[in-house]
Amino acid sequence: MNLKKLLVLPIFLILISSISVALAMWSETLKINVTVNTGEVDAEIVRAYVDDDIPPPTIKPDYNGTPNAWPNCTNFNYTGEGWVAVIKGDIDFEELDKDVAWAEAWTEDTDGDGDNDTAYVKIHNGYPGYMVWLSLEVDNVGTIPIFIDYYVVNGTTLTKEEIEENNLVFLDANGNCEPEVLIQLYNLLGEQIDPGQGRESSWRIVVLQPASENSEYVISVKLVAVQWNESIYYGKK
Amino acid sequence: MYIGKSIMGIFLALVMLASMSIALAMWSETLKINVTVNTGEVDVAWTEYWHNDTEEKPGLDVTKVYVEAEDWDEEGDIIKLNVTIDNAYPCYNVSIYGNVSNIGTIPVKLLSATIKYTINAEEQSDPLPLDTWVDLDLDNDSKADINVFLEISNDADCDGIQIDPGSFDVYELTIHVKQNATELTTYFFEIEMVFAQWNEV
Repeated sequence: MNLKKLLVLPIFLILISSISVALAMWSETLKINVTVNTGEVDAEIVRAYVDDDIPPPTIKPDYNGTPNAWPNCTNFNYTGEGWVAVIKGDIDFEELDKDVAWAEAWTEDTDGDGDNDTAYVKIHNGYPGYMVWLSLEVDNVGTIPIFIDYYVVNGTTLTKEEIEENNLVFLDANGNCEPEVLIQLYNLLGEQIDPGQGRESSWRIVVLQPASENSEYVISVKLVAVQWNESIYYGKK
Repeated sequence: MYIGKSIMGIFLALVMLASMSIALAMWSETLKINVTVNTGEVDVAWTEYWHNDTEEKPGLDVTKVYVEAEDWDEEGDIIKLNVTIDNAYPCYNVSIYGNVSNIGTIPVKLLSATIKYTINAEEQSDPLPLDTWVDLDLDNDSKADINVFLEISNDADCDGIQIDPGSFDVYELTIHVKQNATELTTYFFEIEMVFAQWNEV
């Protein structure tokens, strides 16, 4: 019995060694270490200002603006942020003889990433016909080229083609097809902005005839910046 | 009397022994074979390496790629490359090329390729078959951040994965940054390629 047990061990060792011989294979190993450091898509509104930013009285009179086109009810769409109509047209304007209203513009970092991502414009003592210019400078403060693909005006998405076709955006707060404010957008869309570079644009804002007294109307314009190679404008010229 | 008989006995015994020796004496020659086995060597190395990153547009090079030797064996042959891709973004892809040269004396074949990376301080290992996209979720959010593709881009001898002594194959590793990659993040992984003697792969 003990002899059998003694025999098992050497037989087992012989089997193991024969397997090891079968597995012995000469080989060499080559390696590649790969480190991928991603960059950052980051745009900032570095400057937002209005042309009438000093409270009256000043020597600079107000401007009166009148759109030469007016939307009808079928032009309006409800977006969750009011009714919006985008139509083709322009604004006729003239300098008035009084300084009554004024406006201020400022920027804020709302997401806390160190860059100002939101511009605010506030019109004080506005009245029907009052028009102000808002100028914006958007810089690429990230490390990847960007395009600004869309404006989103009170929930309505607008592309470059749409802005070139129709750039008067009427906002109707109460859904009666009588818009209270108007913004005329100009193009920041469709041009590549490389890191460190920026684009500037100037828009017009007009208080319209249906606006009520002592009321507040909010226009929200979002600029959607996209990494260059996935922009809808990439490769188009 | 006894002494005489004893002497005779010894004499007879000697005579018998002598006759037996004569019977055993046989002419012979011995042949020998000396065997010396000099073994060869399985040895491969990265002998050239480059990448195909280009400027995104004239004068603007957004993403930079560096390929350099990182480790050498005791004979001074390069056995490890280090690839660094800086300022990458979703959809970016680049191919890294490396000549795998057989600097040994035995033909070799690719036995295996493996991707190694670390998740929560635990080493992970996935097979990297040739000609197959392999997704990598390097930040463990259940979404792939990077995927890679390994292929032979130049099979110098048209013999597949075999590399004969003195010859080489160009291996191409394509690295693609996927949509779920996050900004300002470092992703790291290692590719390990084992080349073994040709007749046992």
